Amino acid sequence: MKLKRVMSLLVTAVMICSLAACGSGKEAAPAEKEEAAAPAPAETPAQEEESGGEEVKTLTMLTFTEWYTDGWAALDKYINENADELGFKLDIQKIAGGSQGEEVVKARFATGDLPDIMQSYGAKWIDTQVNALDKMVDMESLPSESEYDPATMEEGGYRYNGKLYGMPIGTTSLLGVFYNKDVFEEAGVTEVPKDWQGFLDTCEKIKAAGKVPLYYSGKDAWTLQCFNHFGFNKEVFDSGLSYTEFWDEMNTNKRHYADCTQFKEAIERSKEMLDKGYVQETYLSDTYDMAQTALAKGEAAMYINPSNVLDEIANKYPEAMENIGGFALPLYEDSQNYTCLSLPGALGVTTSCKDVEAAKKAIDFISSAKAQQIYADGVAGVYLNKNVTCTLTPALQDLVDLMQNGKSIALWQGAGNNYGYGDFGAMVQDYYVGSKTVDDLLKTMDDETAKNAIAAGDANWNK
Amino acid sequence: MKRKSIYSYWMLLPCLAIFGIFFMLPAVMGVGFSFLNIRNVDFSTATFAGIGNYKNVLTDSGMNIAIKNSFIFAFVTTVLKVTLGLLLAVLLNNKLKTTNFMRTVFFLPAVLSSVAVGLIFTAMMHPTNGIINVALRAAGLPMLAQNWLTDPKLAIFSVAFVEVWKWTGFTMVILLAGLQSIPEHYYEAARIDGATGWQKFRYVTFPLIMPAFTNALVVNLIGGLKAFDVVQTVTGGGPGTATEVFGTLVYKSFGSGRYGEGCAASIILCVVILIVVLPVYRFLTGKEVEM
Repeated sequence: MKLKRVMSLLVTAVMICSLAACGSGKEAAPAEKEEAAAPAPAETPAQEEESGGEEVKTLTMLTFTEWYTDGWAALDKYINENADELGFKLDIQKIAGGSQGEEVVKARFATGDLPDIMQSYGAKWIDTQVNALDKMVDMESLPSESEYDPATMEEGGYRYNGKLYGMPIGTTSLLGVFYNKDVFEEAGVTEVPKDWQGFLDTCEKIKAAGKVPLYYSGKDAWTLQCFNHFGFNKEVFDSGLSYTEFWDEMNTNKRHYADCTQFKEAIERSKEMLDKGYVQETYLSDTYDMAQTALAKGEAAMYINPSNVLDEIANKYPEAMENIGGFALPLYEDSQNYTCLSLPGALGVTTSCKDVEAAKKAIDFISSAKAQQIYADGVAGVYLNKNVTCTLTPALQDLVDLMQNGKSIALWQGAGNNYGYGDFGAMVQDYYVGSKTVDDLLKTMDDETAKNAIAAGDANWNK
Repeated sequence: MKRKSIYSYWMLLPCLAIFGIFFMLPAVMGVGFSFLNIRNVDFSTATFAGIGNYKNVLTDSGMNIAIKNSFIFAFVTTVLKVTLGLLLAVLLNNKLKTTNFMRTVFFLPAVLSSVAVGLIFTAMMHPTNGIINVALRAAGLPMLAQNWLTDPKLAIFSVAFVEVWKWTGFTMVILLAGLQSIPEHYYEAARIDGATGWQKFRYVTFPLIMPAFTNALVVNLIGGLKAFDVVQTVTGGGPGTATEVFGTLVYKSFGSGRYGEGCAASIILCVVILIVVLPVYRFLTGKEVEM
């Protein structure tokens, strides 16, 4: 009987531990821990609290967990500690990002279950992908806007169709190849490759030295598209059209992915890396997180990703940062290789906000140089606020140098399309494992685009 | 004489209202949506699509793979879960010291979250660091170490294994309930007639647990055909579309914001399940015997 009780207790303990283990993801950020210890935040939007005669509004905000960086945590902490002075505090809800997170955001727009403030990809995304621009407030103008370049505000879609739907939050992301300098040195590579042949030669030397030349984190399929962005940019360049004109043609059924020869070639070259054994064999099981470890510890020489990955590496392996450099993927001749630049997401006010003025005031503060500097002290990077300064890591500095020398372009494969083209990462996986040809892949992108356009009732696809 | 009902019919109304609002209405709306071009539940731009959504689903490039995988998954998991569940149920119907403990242990996976199970098995099946391949190599069997989740030919079977691990205990419980409802005197009679262990199982146990067996088989078959959670958490339908099943295809249609197509895919899935399960159910119920 006693044994039975002990066994029952043991089994119960195992069950509880298993379930508890599922619930706990990575360790909570410092600010989250403090939030947990603090009294529960107000549930109703824009709730007011009496504090020494001053009103403190609690504003709800939604963001993706991945976007709640150390910089955000520092700023969130500052705001909540100085709520009396600022007149507001934030109740930030964080949901997992990626395509599933985007679906949650779309569903919340569709059902009207919106926070006061939304951090998103910006007004264009909300307009074309969510069909919900009418649920965002035109903030007209904010004092802090003067600290930003007007052209960038237009280009980044913060000011969209002449209306101010959002203010930038976070860092500008630069897409590049990040490399471990020690591995390069061990393999006898003395300078970063400048063209495709040079890149292949570099990979060969690293392979001969017994290291993985290029790390693919195919388990997180989204990372597989990083290689191909560079080819897509070349496609736009070679078309002789501006970025907007190019996408206008794609968005009106006049140009198709299947016609994009440069893009196709880039995808083929990404597979060439696999065929030549320059990528680790287990690439389909390996994750974004594992890639950071491999690069930082010198198990792999190179990894292609947006510069946000440097923040992740800096958190886990700060000592490795001095040893990591960056360059633009040399798919073409030296003069034709660029780093791709992606502007930060936007903070906007939703129409569900009961106190729009308070939310505008909050966003104005968050966009100000003071708040952005607090954010930048937590995450070094390129900020759009002209008055923010910070020391960049060597790898990011390499890419910023390229940007300052005119070797960057604000193009992004999936940034101008009105209709989704499906799960590109999964399509690339299919191509890599031989289930699809590259032509099948491009046709699938066109088919998915057509399906989404038809579902949206777009006359260009219903002829 | 007029028979008087204890309760009035109007007392059914609350139940009917709940059933109508939460079951019938969504089902009818789903059928309606499946004939619309509609994006993200935006009715202002919705247009009539005819059978376009059904055509889209049936001509989807991933459809052939999804059909093949769904049937492989349903067949493999149903056979293994029912066979192993029956074996465990018969073994654990005996009075052993550890019977209750063992029953709990085998049932335990059924109460674990699918997400947790998916993450655990994804880690265990990693080709280099996963405990399965590490153990195989340590045991001197490196030739058996496989790319469990990334080999397109093997991945669907690996996912099926996870499903079997998770739900065999549940099947065991259904069959155990059937076994415990068999009166002891049937076995006494069989013993007196000199029946062997196998004969007792063949002519007494199995016919008498047919209702439970039918239940277990049909539940597992339906579960296999509409599999989603384990596939989504272990492989997400990948690599590429190698482990795509009906459930993940429906999810992707909804995930792309094409609600009409998602509804059409759900209805096709429902029809496929009915076509497969009804004949099986009828066949098995015809074999049941009265106790």
